[in-house]
Order: sequence, then structure tokens, then C-alpha cells
Amino acid sequence: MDGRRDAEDLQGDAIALATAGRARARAAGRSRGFRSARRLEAITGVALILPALFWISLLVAYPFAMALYYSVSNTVVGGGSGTFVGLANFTALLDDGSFRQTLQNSVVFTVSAVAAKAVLGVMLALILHRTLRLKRLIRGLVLLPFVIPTALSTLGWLWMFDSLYSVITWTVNRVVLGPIGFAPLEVNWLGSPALAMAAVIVVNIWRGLPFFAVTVLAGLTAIPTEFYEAAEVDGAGRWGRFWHVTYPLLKPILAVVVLFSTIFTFADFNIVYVLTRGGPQESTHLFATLSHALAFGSMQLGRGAAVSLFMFPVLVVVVALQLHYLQRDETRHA
Amino acid sequence: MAITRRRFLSTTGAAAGAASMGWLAGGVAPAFAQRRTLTALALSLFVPSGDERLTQIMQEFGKQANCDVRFDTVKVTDVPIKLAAEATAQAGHDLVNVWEAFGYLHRNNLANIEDVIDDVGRRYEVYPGHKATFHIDGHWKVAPWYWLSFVGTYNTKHFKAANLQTPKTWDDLRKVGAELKKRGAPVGIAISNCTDSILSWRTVMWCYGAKEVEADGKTIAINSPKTAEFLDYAKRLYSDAMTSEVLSWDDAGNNRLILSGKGGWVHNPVSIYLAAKDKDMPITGELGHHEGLAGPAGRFAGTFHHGLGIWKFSKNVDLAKDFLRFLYQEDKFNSWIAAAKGFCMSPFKKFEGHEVWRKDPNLTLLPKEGPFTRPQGWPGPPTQYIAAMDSKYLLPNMIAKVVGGTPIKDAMTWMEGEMQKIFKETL
Amino acid sequence: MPRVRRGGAFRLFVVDHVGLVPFLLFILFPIYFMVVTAFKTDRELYDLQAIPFWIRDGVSLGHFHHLFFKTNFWRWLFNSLVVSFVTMTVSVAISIFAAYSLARLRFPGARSFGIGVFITYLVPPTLLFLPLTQIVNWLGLIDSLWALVLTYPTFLIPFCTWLLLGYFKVVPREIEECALVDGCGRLGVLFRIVLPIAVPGIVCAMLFAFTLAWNEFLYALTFTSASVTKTVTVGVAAEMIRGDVFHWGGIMAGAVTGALPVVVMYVFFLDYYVVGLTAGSVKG
Repeated sequence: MDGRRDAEDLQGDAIALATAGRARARAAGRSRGFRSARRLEAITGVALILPALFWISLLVAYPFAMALYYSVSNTVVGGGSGTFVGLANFTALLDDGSFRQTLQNSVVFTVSAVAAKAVLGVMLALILHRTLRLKRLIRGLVLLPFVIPTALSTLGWLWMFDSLYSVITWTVNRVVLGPIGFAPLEVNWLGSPALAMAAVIVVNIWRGLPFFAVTVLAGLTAIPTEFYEAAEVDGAGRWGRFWHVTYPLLKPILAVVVLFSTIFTFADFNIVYVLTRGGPQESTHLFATLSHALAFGSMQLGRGAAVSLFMFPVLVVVVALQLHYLQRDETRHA
Repeated sequence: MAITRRRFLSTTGAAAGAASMGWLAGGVAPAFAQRRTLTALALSLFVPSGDERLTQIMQEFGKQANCDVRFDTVKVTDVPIKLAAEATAQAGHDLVNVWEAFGYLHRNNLANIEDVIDDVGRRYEVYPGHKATFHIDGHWKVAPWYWLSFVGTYNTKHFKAANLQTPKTWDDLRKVGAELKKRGAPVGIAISNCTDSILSWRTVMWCYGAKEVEADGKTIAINSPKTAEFLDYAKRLYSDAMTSEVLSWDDAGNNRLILSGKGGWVHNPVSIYLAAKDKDMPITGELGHHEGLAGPAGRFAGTFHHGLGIWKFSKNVDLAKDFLRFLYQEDKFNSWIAAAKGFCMSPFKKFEGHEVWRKDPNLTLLPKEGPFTRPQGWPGPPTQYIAAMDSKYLLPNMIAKVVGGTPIKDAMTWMEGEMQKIFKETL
Repeated sequence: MPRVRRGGAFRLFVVDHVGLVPFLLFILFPIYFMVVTAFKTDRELYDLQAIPFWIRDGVSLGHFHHLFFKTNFWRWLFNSLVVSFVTMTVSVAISIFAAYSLARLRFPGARSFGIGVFITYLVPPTLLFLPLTQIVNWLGLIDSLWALVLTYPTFLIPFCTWLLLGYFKVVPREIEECALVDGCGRLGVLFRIVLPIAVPGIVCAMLFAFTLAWNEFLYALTFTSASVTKTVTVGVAAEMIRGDVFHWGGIMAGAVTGALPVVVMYVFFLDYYVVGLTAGSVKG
């Protein structure tokens, strides 16, 4: 409790200082022709942003418009522009069992993977923050899964989950179950819907954990030690310090990482494509893999585009709200 | 888009281009050096020497036709992506490797090549499977290149130990397989989302007299007593002779089952045997092949019919046709078949006596499968609708439902419903 | 580092290091397994009696030898390096301007542009690349590494802009405003005041950008075809997955070797990286 109050006091001081400084500078600015300075600032602002705007809109605007058009047309790959069919693709999807299954899979996959990455990531970051032995080496090692190209590292996992050669099954049977006299486990990791879903989630966690851990670690490094000292003086325990000092200060960074991670996870393609191709049956299909199957297996570009854009409006709203919240949060703190 | 610079780079290899930043522009030619380049795209063949030989044949052709040549390969599952991108951009390679339904899917973007194939077909006698696959709307759209012989691959050691004869019919296989499974050497046909699964089960389905569509390629025929009979067989084969491993397999799952020494029998092209031989693995001597199995309705064989198509939008359509004529000279095609080590079967009767199959007793039976091969979608052609069914793995999923306990009738009704949705579309 | 007076620092130290073990196992075991696989003979790989995570029949360099001398691997590695380096530089440079503008300058539509940049991230690349192929073709860049140099920034710029935006926001305004008052222009402020303070954040953006470009697969597959223009990810997959035969050893050798340059970069810049993320994100 007290730790938190201290933290807020300190922040409050910082804000007061900053505001005073800005007010002084503003006053100075106003006296030297506020209006023209404002206009110059706007022109500079737009000029600086133009290269990025130009690059992105040149290359993304047209494809994006086309993808939007595909989703309301019956275009097939290489078949010209097709004809306008309104929302027929979307209604057909709602009527399609495999799409509804995909929708459910995507939610399960994204929510569990992101939640696990967030919890494990914070735990790992807390440990890394305190660990001193071989700090550099360990922090470097933790980043490895992020560095190996997914297209290739997922193949490593495919070999690990193999129905015959699985190193996981082997180790469990020979190293754990065998010596204590239990019957060997007969398990086909990618062969049943629940296990296959768990497997693709685990690989996603493996791949994404470093990003979480290191980003959160960075956030921890930035928390001034005084906050903890103040909390300690107030007699807060380890958990209390985490809950009243660390967590509130980590919230903004967590929000950003969760946002990025949700988007990446939701759009994940490689893991499922390599490990299960959507199977067994349709139990692991995600939006990206289903859309890929439709667009490249049978050239139904319109339907494929509808799949991949189905959640777009929802995502845009969520992201816009979250970004808005973050920016407002910032202006309040700045 | 012809260039000498690219050729220079490709011949000088790895680090040579490093000297200047100009290498970044790999494909952009200086105007003064314009020279035609004939390009081809294919999947990276299991047998690398086949790809190498094709590159050489292209180079020989380049010398004769005074052009540059390039043969590119990508992994098999990436070919559809490349085809889609090139068809969208209306630019890319001149010749492209297509198989089964990709001929129909890209029919509007492929040039007619009967002026090449009619003559070749007359001289060498093309198998009906290739004709049904690539002769589309009255035109040859794709040049027959090769097909893959799916045969029974078995472990002779396990068969001997159990004193078993190789099966002749699918029902034999079930009985043999039950014995093998008891001895820990199961049979395996993938029941999962992979193309081998579709192909193998379609083979079984035809042998049981069942079919997905009628000969017109439009009338849905999956919900039938014959299909029920086939599904009943599939269910029994699975429970008697297989383990649940097959539910997760990719195209290479059956390869691994046999190579591990554990597996008793699988249905696959001969890549398993050739890979073992190539890597000098101890199991090589224990592997045997036997001819395709028959069912109550006769003997049929699914396969992948591979071909080379020429994009309509290619700037070198005539040059590419000349190359096909060059490739189909008897000595050239013979040398390519030899380089592919017997993995790639000739689409023409003329070459079926090639020594590559005669000299290895384990391969002699391969060409005999030729008359039994059928295109995907048979008795109809491998249309875009068949492709749409296969991209959703309907057939393996129907079987997976049945072996998972869904009543046969319900599984058939499910697949019929899915097919109706697909056939309603305009593709 | 907070210190604990009662209970003993030693006990906590042990708890922390023990707690690290499961994490390291989870993170490193698959990588260790890939390395072991890369050094195994094919014979042992397919031997059910072999220990999957140990080399019994002796270390084999065969897969590496094949990769290094029988394929265009060095060329692919070189292509990957140059493309990643060039796109990283261009994207970070452009993002610095954009992020500074969004972080500091007031102009109409600033916020909606910021959100707009982010939303381009929501467009699924699985389909975007098809029409993008048309553009690349119109520009005459099919089968040229320029196509990658051109298209990679479309996903690198939004990412770097948002990362740097957070970072620039925490540079104290007062320092800048004093410099402005002293007659320094906006660009002068950016280059002389903000950038020097922001070095860790920029290094961090560079590392991320490099990694994303290095790992990219789809655009590289679509826009390049010739073996000499392939990148590591596409080249290794094309060469080592042949039909229905996976050359596991070769794939793993490619994955491990292909990751080395990035690992070296990370180790070299690790301190910057952590500090950079710190300031960039905590308040952003």
C-alpha cells in the first residue's frame, strides 16, 4: 500500500517539474511569434513523416485495397478481377463448419499463447533481473529462439514431435517413467486434436517468450531503485513490492507487448503450416492457414481474402482503443 | 529480361558478386546486353541428379538456340505459392512445373501446346492418365513430364519372420497387416492433412468401386453403398493393422515408419528405398516393393501426374516450345530418366523398358503400374473443384471421422454436404 | 537490485538460480537438439535404438559439408546479410523522422496517422503479397534483391516507428525546448540533442529490424527465384526438403549456421538492446 503511495508521490514530483519547465518554454515561445512557430512546426511535422507515408502507401495501399476488393468478389487466382458478390464470401464463411472451427481455434490459440507468454515472460524477466552469475551469457541465450528463422526452427519442433522419433516421448519414457517402473507412454503429439493444439501453442510460446522476457526485463531495469527502497522501509514483502511497485510501473510496457504479441500470434502461419497443416481434421487451422489453403490450394482468392479480413474490423477497433488509451496515458504522465 | 551478368554471377558462384553493389539488381539487365533467357521452375526433386541433368539439358539447348537458361527449384509445398504469384503478376518463369489439378486451376493462363505434344504423343504413345490430366477443354495445356509410381513398400524381414506372403488385394493387406501389427510392425497409410493421404485413400476407394464424382466431373457421387463399403474397409484396416501414428503424418510420415525398421508396410513412391540406398542405411537390403493392390472393383492407382506448362504471358512461348521439343528427343529424355534414378516414371509407353528400372530388381515392377494410373477426381478430370476438395482434405477427414467413431452414414453425409458447398461455387 | 535484509540474500540467490533452470531447459533444449541433429549421421538419425539427444556414432560434418560446398549457401548467407542490413538502415532512418514527428510535433492528424501506421500491421501478409507481386513486376524488379529491399520496409517501418516513438517521448522536452529557444531548428534539435540521447533505442530498433528482415520467408520466396538471389531461409528449405524427403541434418545445419550472424550481433549489442527497450517502452 505504502509503496504505491511513494511511487505515486515520486511520479507526481516529476510531473510537476516537467510541467513547470514546459510552461516556461511555452511562454518564451509565445513571445517570439507563437503562430508562425506553430505553422512551421506543422510543416516540419508533415515533412518528416512524408518518407514513411510515401513508402508505406506506395506499397501497401494498393495491395490492401485489392485485398479488400477480393473479399467482396469471386476472384480466382490469375483469373482477372472476378465479379462483385457483395458479402457473399462472408456469409458463406459463417455457414461453413470449418471456418467456425477455425474461429474457435484462433481464439483458443491466441488467448492461451499470449496469456502464457505474458505470465512466463514476467516471471522469467523477474528472475533474469535478479540473476547475477553469467548475466550477459544467459540474457543472450534466452534470445535464441527469436533469432533462428521460424521457417527452419519449426521444422526442428516437427522432428521433436515426430510420432516415432520424438525426443520428448523418448526422454519421458527412458529417463523419467522407465527407471521408476512405469509403462512407457504411447503418445502421438500431433495426432489428437487437444494435444496438437497444445503442441502448436507450446511452439508459439517458445518462439515468443524471449520477446516478452527481454522487453519486460528492460522495463524492470528502468524502475528506479528508490521506489523499492521506499517500499521496503514501509515493510513490504517480496510479493508486496511486486504488486505495489513493479506491476503498476510495468503496466504500460506490458500493454504494448501484449498488443504486439496478440497481433503476431493471431496472424501466425508458419507453426501450424509446418506442424499440422490444420489437422488433425480441422482442429488447429488458424485464419492464416485456412486462408492460405483456400487461396493457393484451390485459387479461391476471394474466399481466402474474406477469411483473412474477417477479424480485421474487430482488430482495428481493439487496437485503436488500446493505442488511444496508451497515448492518453502518456500525455497524462509526460 | 536476358542478361549476361546474372549468368556470370551464377557461374562464378558464391562470393564473386560481392565486389559491387550492382549484384543487388540480379535480374535487371543493362540495355546493351539484352539476350533472351529461358527460365523454368520446378519443385526440388527428391533425386538431385534429376534436377542437375535437366539443367544440363537446358544449357545444351541454350547453346543451340543462342539464349541463356535458368532452372529454379523450390520445395514442393511452395510451388503453388509461386504459381499463384506469377499468375497474378502475369510475369515470371517461362516454363512451370504443374501437377494434377494445377493444370485446370491455371488453364486460362497456360498456352496451348498441341503443336508440340500431338507429335510427341504419336511417337511415344502417352498414357491416358496424363492425357486426362493435362488435355483440358480440347487443348494440350501441359506437357506430360513424369508420374510417381505408388507401390507397396514393405520390410521383408518382418514378412519373413511372420512367414507372410506379399498381399495381392486390399483385403489380403488387412489380414497380413493384422499379423504384422501383432508383431509390432504396423502398416501405415496417413489419415491426416497431407497430399499422400488423399492419394493413397483415393486409390483404395477406386478399388472398392466408390467415387467422389461422376465422369462429368460435376455430379456428386460420394454418398453411395460403395463408399460405405470402402469406409468399412478403411475402418477395419486402421483398427486391425495400423496405430494412431497415421493420424498426424505429413507426406514423409510413412517414409520414417519404414526407415526406422519398425514399419511393416506402407503405400508410397520408391523414395524410401532410394533414400535408404543413397544414404547407405542398413535397412536398404530389407526393403521390398510389390505391385499395386486390387479390390472388389478391380485395380486402380492414384499418382501425381507431373508436367511442364508454358505461361501464356511468357515472352518466350515459342522458345519454350522449342525447348520442349529438344527435351523430348529420345536420347535427351532417356538421359533424364536415367538421372532421376527410376523415381520419375515415363509418361510415354515408349520409355517404360528403360534400363534404370530393369537393372534394379527392386524397381522392375514400377512401369507395370502405368496402365492402372488414374487422375485425381477420376472418373472425372482433376478439376478446380477437386482441388478445392483436396485443399480442405475432405477425403482424409471423412476417414478420420470414421476411424474416430463417427457412423459411416454420417461421415458420408458430411462429405457430401461439404462437396455441395464447393460445387455451388463458380471456380 | 533490491536487497533483502532478513531471510538471507543467499537463499534468494539460490531460489532465483534454481527458478531459472526450467526456463533455460525449455528455451535451450530445442536449440541444443537442433545442433545435435545437425552433427549426426543419417544412419543414426533414423535408428530407433539411438539416443535422440546424444551422438553415439561419432560427430559427422557431412551435413555441413554438403550445405557449405554442394549448395549456394554462402551466396544465400551473403544475400540475407546485405538485404537485412540495407533494409534495416533505410527503415530505421525513415522511422527516426516519422517517430520524432509523431512524438513531438503538433500538426493536424498526427494521432490518426500514428494509428494508421500501426494498422498497416494488421493486414495479413498471407494475401497482401499477391497484389504486391504486381507492383514489384511493374517496377521491373521481379527476381532481383531490390524487390526485397523495397518491400521489407513495409513491415519494418511501422514496427520501428512505434518503437522509436515510445523512446523519443521520454527524452525530456525541456532540453529540446531550451535548444529551440537558443535558435536551434527542429532538425538541429533532432540530430544534436535527441539522437545522441536516443542511441540505445535506435540500436534496439536496428536489432529488431535486422532480425525481422533476416527471418522473412514469404516475400523472399515470392519475389526471387534464381538460386543466386535466394536468402538463407528460402534456399535451405528448397535444397533440404526434396519431395517427401526431409534432410533433417541439413535443415538443422542451415538453421543453426543461419542464425549465427544474428546471434553475434545480439551478443555484441545486448547491453544497448536492453537499455534501449527500457526507455522506449516503459513510458511509451
